[in-house]
Amino acid sequence: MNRQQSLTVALLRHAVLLAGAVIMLAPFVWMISTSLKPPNEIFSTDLSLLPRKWFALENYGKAFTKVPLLRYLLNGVIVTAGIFAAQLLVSLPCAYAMAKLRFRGREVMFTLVLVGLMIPAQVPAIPRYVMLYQVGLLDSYAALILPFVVSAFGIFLMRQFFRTVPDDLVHAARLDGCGEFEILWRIMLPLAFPAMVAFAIISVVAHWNDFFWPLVVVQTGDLATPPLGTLFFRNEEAGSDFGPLMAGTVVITAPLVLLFLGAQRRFIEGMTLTGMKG
Amino acid sequence: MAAASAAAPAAPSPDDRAEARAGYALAMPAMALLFVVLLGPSLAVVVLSLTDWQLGAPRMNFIGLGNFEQLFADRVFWRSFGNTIVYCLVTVPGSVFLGLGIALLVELAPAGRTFYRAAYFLPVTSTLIAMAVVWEFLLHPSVGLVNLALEAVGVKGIDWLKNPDVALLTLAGIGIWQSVGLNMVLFMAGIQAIPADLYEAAEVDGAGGAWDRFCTVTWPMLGPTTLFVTVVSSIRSFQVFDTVEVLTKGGPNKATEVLLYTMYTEGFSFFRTGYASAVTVVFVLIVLTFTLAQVRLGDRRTHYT
Amino acid sequence: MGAITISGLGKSFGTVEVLKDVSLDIADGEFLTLLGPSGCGKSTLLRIIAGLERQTAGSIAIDGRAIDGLPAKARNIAMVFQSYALYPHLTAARNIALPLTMRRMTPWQRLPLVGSLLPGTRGLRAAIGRDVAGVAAALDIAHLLDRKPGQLSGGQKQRVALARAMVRQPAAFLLDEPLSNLDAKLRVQMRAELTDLHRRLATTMIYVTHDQAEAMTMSDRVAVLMGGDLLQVGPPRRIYDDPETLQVAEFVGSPKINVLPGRMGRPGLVDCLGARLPLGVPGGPDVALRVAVRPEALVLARPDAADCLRGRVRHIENLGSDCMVHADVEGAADPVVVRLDPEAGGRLARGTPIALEIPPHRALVFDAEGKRLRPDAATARLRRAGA
Repeated sequence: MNRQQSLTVALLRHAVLLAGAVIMLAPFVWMISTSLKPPNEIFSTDLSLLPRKWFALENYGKAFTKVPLLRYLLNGVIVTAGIFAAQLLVSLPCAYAMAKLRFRGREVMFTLVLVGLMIPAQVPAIPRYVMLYQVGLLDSYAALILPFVVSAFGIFLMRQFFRTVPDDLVHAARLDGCGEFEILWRIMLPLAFPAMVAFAIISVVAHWNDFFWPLVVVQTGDLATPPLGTLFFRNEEAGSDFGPLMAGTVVITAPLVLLFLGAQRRFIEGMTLTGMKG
Repeated sequence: MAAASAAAPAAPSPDDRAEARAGYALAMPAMALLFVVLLGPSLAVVVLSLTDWQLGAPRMNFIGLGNFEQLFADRVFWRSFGNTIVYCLVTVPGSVFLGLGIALLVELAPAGRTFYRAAYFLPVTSTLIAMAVVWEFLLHPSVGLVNLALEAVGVKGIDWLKNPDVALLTLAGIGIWQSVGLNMVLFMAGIQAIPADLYEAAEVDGAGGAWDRFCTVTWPMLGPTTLFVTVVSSIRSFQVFDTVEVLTKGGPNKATEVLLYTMYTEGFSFFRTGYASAVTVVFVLIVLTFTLAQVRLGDRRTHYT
Repeated sequence: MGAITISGLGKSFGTVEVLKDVSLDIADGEFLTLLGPSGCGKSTLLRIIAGLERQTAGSIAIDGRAIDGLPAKARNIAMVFQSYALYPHLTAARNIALPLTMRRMTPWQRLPLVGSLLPGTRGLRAAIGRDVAGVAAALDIAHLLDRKPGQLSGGQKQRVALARAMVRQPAAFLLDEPLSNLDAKLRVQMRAELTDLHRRLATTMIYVTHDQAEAMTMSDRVAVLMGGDLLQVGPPRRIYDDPETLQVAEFVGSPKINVLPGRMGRPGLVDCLGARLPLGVPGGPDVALRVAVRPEALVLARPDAADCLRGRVRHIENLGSDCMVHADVEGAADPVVVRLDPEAGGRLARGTPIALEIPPHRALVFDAEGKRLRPDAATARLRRAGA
């Protein structure tokens, strides 16, 4: 290839990719742009990115007062943190036992984990709902957290990771006087940190964004997670007051988007693992 | 030395039993919870699908396959089933081939690689419900960006979400927008895993042009990745629900009714628990077919690359 | 104290027997090497002694006390792993301190934050720190204590692993091919250091290796293990000069011992490819034998000498200090290797006809099954009289 040809290829590549990127990013850009505009500009037909009259304060102010946006975010933090903490607490010991300890039934248990891995999230929804209904826990944090305290994917991921830790390390720890729990706590846990980060990203993204389950179990606005809160907000607005609505969506999407932009590599590595999950 | 030891195998020593005890102690809480919150309820769905139970009803009767008979006789179910298939048939090829194309272009040169990867991947991590609300605004018939942009180039816009002919395709478009980035990074990983000397060998063998190299090396080597990405995309597309609930509620006139949405309305709006369970069983059977295909492909992938 | 008695030890995985009825007494303070090719069961034996695996038969005792039921941590045995098995997330100091932390502190005292508030924790930590510093000084790694394993070279990791084993003053050390990951030069240096360390500590060491040079240079005694059988135990010199079986003779020594076909001739005489050797081994006439001679035992004879092996030089390897001459000898399946001094070797060339003399007292005779045949008393007397 001569230089002129390769320059053409490079220009073509950028042209196509930039056009695509514009489409991919347009919703984000327009969301932010709209959240800064007064109603008359939003309803005008000219396509301007920047507002002629800045209306950010009004839109965001309205978004925070009309619905408890901060409360939604807090709920999101409580639910995702609660779920992830429980998943970690439950999965790590199980994953360690399945990777490094010999006991009868281990293979059967691991098969059950694999079966659990294949079940789509919505399948157990009806019986879970019935169970929560019967113990009177619907419409509570417990209803949002309890169904997800164990993650088949988490057990699977951590087991695969623990299997890569050399057996010699476990043996050395036993000779050094560690019990099984101490091996897990002192040796495996610090080593598993990268895998735990991937697991954390997958779990937090999945449950922060989860819509189906909160929609099913939450009626009270105070318990809404960010996606459900967005819907409440939208329904409240009845599709007319777009400025504050877009301001609200900016606030709701900001945490994960910022997290992603701050830790792109880890995010992408982590999210590609969900490919295994289906 | 004497011949093989005649002694009977030693009984499990206390230490072996201690290891097994530790194993159970560490694994059991997770296994018990897994059963209570996932495996048990999933089995219960199958049992419930054979009953006429409605949530809150005092009695539950086993009616065999009655729910399924009713289901298969129901035009709405078939509409829902058909819509789900159409949605997949648009979203899967769209997101797989676009994902592949973008990955190839991005990997062609290092310039701008990080930016493009981030730009295309952004929709994957952002909260879909919030973005659906944004899309609703973008697709607004009179003030939405999409129609404004179309009118700027002289094309008459339509009501994307209220027109029964295009509503499902619109949702599929949003589906592609949301998932193409994930497919792109999966393909990028696949492309990076292709050994560079294969390209050199192809060049020595006379496959010099970009298209030749794609045909002789890239595409064949990406075969397993493509299959894998296709299956994963199929499973994800089959679970479409969020955009339907927020943007169309299955309408207009059932034009966007999909399986999970049917399951949701029957189960949690009408509380026809038994019937909704039957829908779930149909849903899970289809997804499991994809998943088992994925597992088999996954095995092949580990063997062949 | 650490005298280890192994009696009738067996281990099988399913139907595969990896150890067959192994019995061995190791004295307190002894340096014993388990030598054998890979897959011979030596590492399994070491792991059973450590308590990391279970035997399927037999018993192990330390100082007369059976330890079969004890978990690894209760055996007071330390081990150095081939991979060093250092905890990658801990500094060298904390790696070395871990066994002491586990043994001296209560579970409560070991807790982060809470532990340091409990009475006695600080004193214990200080004492552990002193012990770690002491061991580090002895092994000359005091300057490395703050580094993590990833920042250490192979030889430094080796020392940290040794320090971690030494710090709790165990009854015995088990070393599983500890030098195999080091480069050749460092390996020779560490060999000397380990021997020196053993002298200073005077603690039992069981050392597993497939490298006969390590076995020969470091051990008080060598135990040769092959296919799960313990073939011979003895001081290195004995294993080399006086092997019990052809297997041992062939495994030990480099280049490999020459094995030649032989046949019983007149009583007391063995015919070996034209040489008649007065070896005085028992056996009837015409019984097939194997005669083994180490390369350095063969002597270059004058071309016309009698009772010699005859052949032609096929290939000469001049190693500088020695010269290995490979010769095709009529009747021998493989070339016969002779070690000569470079000067003598230099006079030979490819194709030169040579004659090789086998000094009778350096020849080892084995029967068809590979078992060693020794001169019996009667023929030995006869031989002396004849000579």
